[in-house]
Amino acid sequence: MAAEILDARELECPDEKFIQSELSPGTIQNQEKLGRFLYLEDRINERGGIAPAAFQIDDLIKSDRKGISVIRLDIVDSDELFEVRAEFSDRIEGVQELKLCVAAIKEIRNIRIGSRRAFCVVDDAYPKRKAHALIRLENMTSLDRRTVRRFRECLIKKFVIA
Amino acid sequence: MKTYANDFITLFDRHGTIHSPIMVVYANNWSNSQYDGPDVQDTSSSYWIGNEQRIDKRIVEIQKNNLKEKVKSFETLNKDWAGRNTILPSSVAIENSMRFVDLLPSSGKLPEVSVAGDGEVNFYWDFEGVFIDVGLFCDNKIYYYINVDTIGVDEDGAEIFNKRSLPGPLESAIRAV
Repeated sequence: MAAEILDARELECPDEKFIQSELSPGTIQNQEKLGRFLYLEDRINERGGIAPAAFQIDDLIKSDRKGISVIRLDIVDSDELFEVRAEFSDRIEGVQELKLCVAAIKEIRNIRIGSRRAFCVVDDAYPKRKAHALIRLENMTSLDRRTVRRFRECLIKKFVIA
Repeated sequence: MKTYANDFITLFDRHGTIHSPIMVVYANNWSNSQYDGPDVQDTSSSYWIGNEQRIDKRIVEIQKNNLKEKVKSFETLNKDWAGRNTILPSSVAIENSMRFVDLLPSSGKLPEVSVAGDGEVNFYWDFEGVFIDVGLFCDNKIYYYINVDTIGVDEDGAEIFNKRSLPGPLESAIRAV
């Protein structure tokens, strides 16, 4: 029985075990931390909680979206942060300050709904963004705009405002 | 200033006492000499109860209008505000969101609202033991997830938004928070 469980877990998130981009400095380790920038004021509520809209549903359930975009805080450098800031400033007029929310990768990987892991965390480096990573549903095929909300709540609760 | 004054009169029209932070706002914008109403020290309990209910209702109306203004402001976002694949909230999502606010029960706490880059207008309640997530997109449906410890509810749902009432489980949960 124990061997069967081990086998099932081995099958979860295979992409986590190999780098996904030649530009990536390596696979993502459990002890790393992830960050996501929040650039609209209403993304943070009065109690310091994060608005669900900060983690958009289509990024999780649509096959043409790759996942929720995050940054590996253990390897990001100032040049890359500059790039991120510039990207946001181009998009939204008057963006003064980006807020950062942070989560431990191990905690995201430990979210289980039913018997399976809910999320995978994989590297997704591209030019000027070597610390870029993605959070994906482990199995997106069975989820839709209704059922994914439960997963999103679990994910949001792992992040705290830095 | 005229708007403040009118609101103040509505809130304060008969012998009542305002027990709300909103009074502070109005009081700061109001000169004593302008108020020509009844004695505010009246302690008649029937007035107190009736007036508090009226005031509560008015406060909820103001807060609902604020929510609707926030929803309306989503129409002014840049077309690519959330990146290359941004979908702006559709007119259907905006209209349904305004109607959703109208239908919120006055007895419960009001939600916070935000917008996602995939066109979702999202309302949520998130505090100790309570998480309610409501999404309105362009497809005329209302999606919700309710996780409220105090009433032991943990369920999700989706249905066509009929604009006349909220989905039953959602309305019950909102009234309970």
